[in-house]
Amino acid sequence: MNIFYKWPFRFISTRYLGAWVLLCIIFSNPLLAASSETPRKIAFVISKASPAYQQVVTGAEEKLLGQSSVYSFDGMLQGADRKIDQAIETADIIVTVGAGATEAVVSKGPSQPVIAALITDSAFSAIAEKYYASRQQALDSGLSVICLDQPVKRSIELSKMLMPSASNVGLMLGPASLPRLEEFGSHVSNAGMNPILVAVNARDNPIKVLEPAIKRADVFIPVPDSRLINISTAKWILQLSYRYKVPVVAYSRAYLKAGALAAVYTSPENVAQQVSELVAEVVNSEEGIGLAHMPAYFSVEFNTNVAEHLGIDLKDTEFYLERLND
Amino acid sequence: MTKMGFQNRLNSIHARLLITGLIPLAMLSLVLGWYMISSQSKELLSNMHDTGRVASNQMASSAEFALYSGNQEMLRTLGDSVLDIPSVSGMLFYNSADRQTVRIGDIDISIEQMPADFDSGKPFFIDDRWYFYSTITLQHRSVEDYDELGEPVSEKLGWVLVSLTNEILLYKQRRAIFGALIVITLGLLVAAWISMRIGRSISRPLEGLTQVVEVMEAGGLESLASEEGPLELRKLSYGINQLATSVKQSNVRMQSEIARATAQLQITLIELEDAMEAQDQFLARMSHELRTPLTAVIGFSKLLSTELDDRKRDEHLRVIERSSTMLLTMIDDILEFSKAHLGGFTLEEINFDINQWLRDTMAIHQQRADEKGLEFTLDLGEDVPSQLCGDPVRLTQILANLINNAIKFTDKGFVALKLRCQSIEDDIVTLECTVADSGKGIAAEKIPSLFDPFSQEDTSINRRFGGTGLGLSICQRLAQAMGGDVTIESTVGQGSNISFSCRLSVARSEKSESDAASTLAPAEQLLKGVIVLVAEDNPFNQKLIVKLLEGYGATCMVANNGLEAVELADELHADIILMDLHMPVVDGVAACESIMQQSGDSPPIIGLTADITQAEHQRMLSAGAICVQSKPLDEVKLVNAMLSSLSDQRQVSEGFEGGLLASVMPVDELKAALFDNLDKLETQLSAGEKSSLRQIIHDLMGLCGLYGMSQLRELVLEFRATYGTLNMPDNLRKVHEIRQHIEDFLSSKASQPPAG
Repeated sequence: MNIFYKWPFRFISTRYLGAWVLLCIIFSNPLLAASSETPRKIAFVISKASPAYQQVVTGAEEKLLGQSSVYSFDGMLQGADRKIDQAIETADIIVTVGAGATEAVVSKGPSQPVIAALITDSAFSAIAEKYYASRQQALDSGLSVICLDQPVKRSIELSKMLMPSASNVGLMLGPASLPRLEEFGSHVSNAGMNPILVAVNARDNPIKVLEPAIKRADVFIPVPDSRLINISTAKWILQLSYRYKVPVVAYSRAYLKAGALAAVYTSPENVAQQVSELVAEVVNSEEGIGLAHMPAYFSVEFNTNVAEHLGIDLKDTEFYLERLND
Repeated sequence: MTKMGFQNRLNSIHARLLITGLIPLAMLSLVLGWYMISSQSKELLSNMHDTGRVASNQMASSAEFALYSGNQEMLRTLGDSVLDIPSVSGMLFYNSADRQTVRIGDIDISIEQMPADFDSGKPFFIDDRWYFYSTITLQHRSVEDYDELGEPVSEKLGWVLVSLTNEILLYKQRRAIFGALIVITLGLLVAAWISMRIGRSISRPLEGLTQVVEVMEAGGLESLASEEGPLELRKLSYGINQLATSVKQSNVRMQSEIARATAQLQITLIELEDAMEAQDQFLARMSHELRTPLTAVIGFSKLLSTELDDRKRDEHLRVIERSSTMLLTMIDDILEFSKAHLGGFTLEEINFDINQWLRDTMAIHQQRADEKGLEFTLDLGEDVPSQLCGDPVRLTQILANLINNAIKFTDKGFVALKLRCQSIEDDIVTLECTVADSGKGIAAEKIPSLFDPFSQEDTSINRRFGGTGLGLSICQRLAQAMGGDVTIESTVGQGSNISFSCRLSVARSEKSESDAASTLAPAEQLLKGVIVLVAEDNPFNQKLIVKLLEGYGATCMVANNGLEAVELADELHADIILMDLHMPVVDGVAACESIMQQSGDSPPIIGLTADITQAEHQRMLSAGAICVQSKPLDEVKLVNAMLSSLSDQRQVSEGFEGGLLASVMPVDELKAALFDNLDKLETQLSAGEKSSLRQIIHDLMGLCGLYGMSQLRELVLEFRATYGTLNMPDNLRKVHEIRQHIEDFLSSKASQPPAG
């Protein structure tokens, strides 16, 4: 038992032992070895051994196995440096799941293509600036990214569908999203509503900044920004929305559970699907390398308690998904 | 009275039971009450603290937005809502810089007044108010789905201080105490009531029992305790009732026994009084009875002095001797009468001439009969053997008694003595002797009581006729001892016939007692070779006994007192010891004991004493003597006793009469010895010295005994009994009378031929 906790296993807690066993079985599939084609080695590096991260890996693998190419998979946590080093030497493609895993791989300067998944745009930008001086240089170095942040346009469209009579849409922007102020404004306008844009920075009292906007808005959409801005504003956005009965259409499931009316977010399955497609694309045509990919898939979910409180009639989720996909 | 009454009530079992039950219950109630008050006070304080904590925490969490946004209005609204809680009096909001933001309600305290650790979360108490501190924290939460950095750090926005007034707590505590006191009081009352009930249930039956016992103690055994109350008390009541019943029955029995015993005592008292009266009468009569033979002795002695005819002189002398013997015998009879109660008479078995004894008896009473002019006759049946064997003294004692009574109670007419032989079988003669008189007779109903000791027909008889009242009783006992009985036939005014029967043996030897006495000689060498130690303090007695024993061939040693006797017995061989009882230095009893302890083969000891009491004889026998010879010594008995103790079959012939001196001591020597003692007696009396009188009298009595001078002995005894009460002239007169008696007696003895 003690050896299990020795490096590299010290990162494998018994809590996730079942998942690791599954990964090992998958990665050591004898059918792959028996194939005549040399398998492409795909190394997955995850930030946490949590179910969401594992779902991304397993989902991607399942989808890749169903394709024509032959793959071999290897999985590791972000702290398993030796294994990561080995993967950097032997793997054909490295897929990082989470910001921590991305930084762990990027910090070692891999030469093969690296796909960063399950990472916010702001986090990717921060890592890119840290290790590649700029976001663009990182992309140029073969670092691909599948951003986690859903396009604000989807939230605006969902808002319109939920509250067709809404005329004023409040949008909170942070330092990272502020440059796209006009873009967001045009989206709102295109949807037939008036944008109420409010920018928040770290020094402001968010209540004092947000309250006037929320007070005026019919629906409020917080735009994902840096973690600091997101955390410091979320509590007050929700309280103010409660006070002024203004529905919030959020960008994460956690936001939804905290009190938002609806959320357009990226689920692990959405990420796995997009990762598998990008891996196959890279393997087959080496396209997609060095690009920042927006999330191709999304999920929608509602807080029925909030909806009842606000008197909003909800339809089936599929209804909204279809509309949004259109 | 009050204090005593209080103490009595306190000591009563009811009070003790009450105290015993009440104190624990009261203590329990107090403890429970204290516990209730204490626990309720703690509970109230705890509740108030909880209220304060909840209020402050609630306020802290609610005020997060308002404080962060600086919305004082919102804070006031929040605060007002909390002020609805009765205990909450006010609150203060401070921001993170400890700057007071909002004051709500009645609260006036600054940070300076607060304790240093006011932010520790513990409530503090100042000026009748409790204060509760709570931190207002801004708690961020992550809204990102895949946040890899964990929960965001919380931020302190400020703090709130909620004050609660203590008045409500005090009010509630007072109410709790009041309630507890009511409970305690009710508890105590209930406890007191229960204790009283229990106490009464026990004490009442006990008090009832106590009253019943007191009544019983006062004698009211009829009252019974009611059997009620607890089981034990019912048992106790039952036991007391049983006891009372038992005591009552015992009382009845006891009273019955007391009544019976009292009646018995009364009877005994009456009998005792009768006995005392009879004894008094007896003592009064005794002197009179003794005078009869004494009168004969004196009278015949006077006649003897004037009578010239030798034959009549001999006759007078014989009468005198017989009267003396009779007198001595009477005295012995009285003593033996007392012995008869224990073991009966000891009768002699000697040959005697009945005719001679009857004539002598007649002669004794002839003078009195003549004086009363009575016809006094003797009718001796021809079939009566002349020579009989038995105790002639006892026989003539009965006859003399009956004749004496007959003469006494007959004023005219006759007194007749008649002897008949009822039967002769195997040499056993049954005689029937009758004394008939023509006297006043005896009432038939009085006849049975005549045989009672010390009784006569009536007390007047004693005054008129004298007598011991013992005569018929002794006669009856003597007759019964001789195998017969006494019968009385009498008619008042006509006379009486008193008869008695007795059984005697026909004498085998033809020789009568007088013949035997004349033929016997003390010179037989019966004690030849026998060494005798004579322990006798009186020189005359020494000489007398030594001479007597030497006449029988014995060799004598003499010891003057008990000590010398012991020394001689130790140093020299003696075959037998004659030990006087009363001796100087060491008396006979002590000497006897010493000799007996000297060695296992000590010689036989024969005690000699003039004391006739059985107790003295017993003392000597207990000391080791094989037998005791009474003084006056009987020569025959003494020698036979010596021979018996020496296991010698030889015996001295019976029938020898007289004292030792009669055969061995010259009259002159005896007279000198007696007078010598009388001289000493007179000297002592004249000088008023009485210290040696008893010893002199003892010596005199010893001499009297040795010589068989019974009259002299009686005179000496009388003197010994009376000299203490008489004055010197009377005592000297008595001594003179004794001297005269000795003179007369020895003169008459000297004129008789030697017995041997």
